Amino acid sequence: MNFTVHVDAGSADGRPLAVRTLVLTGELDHRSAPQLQRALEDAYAERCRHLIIDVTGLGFCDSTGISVFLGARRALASSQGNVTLAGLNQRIERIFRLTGLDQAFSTYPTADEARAAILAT
Amino acid sequence: MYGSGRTFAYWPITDDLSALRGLVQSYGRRAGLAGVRLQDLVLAVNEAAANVLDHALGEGHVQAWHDDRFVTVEVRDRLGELVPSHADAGDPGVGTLRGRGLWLMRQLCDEVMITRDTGGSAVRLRQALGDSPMPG
Repeated sequence: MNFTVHVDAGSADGRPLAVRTLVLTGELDHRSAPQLQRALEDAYAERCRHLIIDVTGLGFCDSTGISVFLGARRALASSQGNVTLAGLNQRIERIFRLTGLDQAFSTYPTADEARAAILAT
Repeated sequence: MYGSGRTFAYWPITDDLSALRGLVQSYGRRAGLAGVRLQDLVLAVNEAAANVLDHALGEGHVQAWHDDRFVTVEVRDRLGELVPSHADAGDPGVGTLRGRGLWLMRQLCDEVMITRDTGGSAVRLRQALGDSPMPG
């Protein structure tokens, strides 16, 4: 299964949004993690402070993927930003619970709910 | 030493871990594993093979066998830097980015054992068949 990162980065008028959403699909592992890392580095370079990572379509995540999620959390914490996860399915929730990631990130059922929560603060 | 189980399997480790996961998944299902316990074994094998890619020059292979009680998957490298005590690795916690593979394998499998001989190191992952309790 291929891995894709879809980036929702700008508003309709082309201005960058304070909240960027990365929609992940497929399998996040040793081979595909660098692709997510590049998308994250683009977001940091454009001074994005709040990232929503939508994992609804993520079928697999290993410890390489977990390292990338934790790296994003660390990178944005240093600029008073944060990473929010949305749409954890049963498989992803299990691995996140085992590794403590469910406690390290705010999680929401959908990216829309995550966005509303960030914009309300 | 591998002759005690039925249906022996052998796969080389490449950087295509997705393909390896598919092979382990099929093997485990045929042996009688299902659901979360099968998913957990597949993830554990993935972690051990990813360690071979990251820490053992990517050179190694995977062997699997099973009997009526256990599915056993052994992930072997040729470098031999893993030693038995590495199997006791603790939870690095979310403040640490890397190095949770072996700890995670222990949460996922009923048994994790590391052996080393002149040919290299091996991580042996074992999942019980039947009505065994959830690990961790």
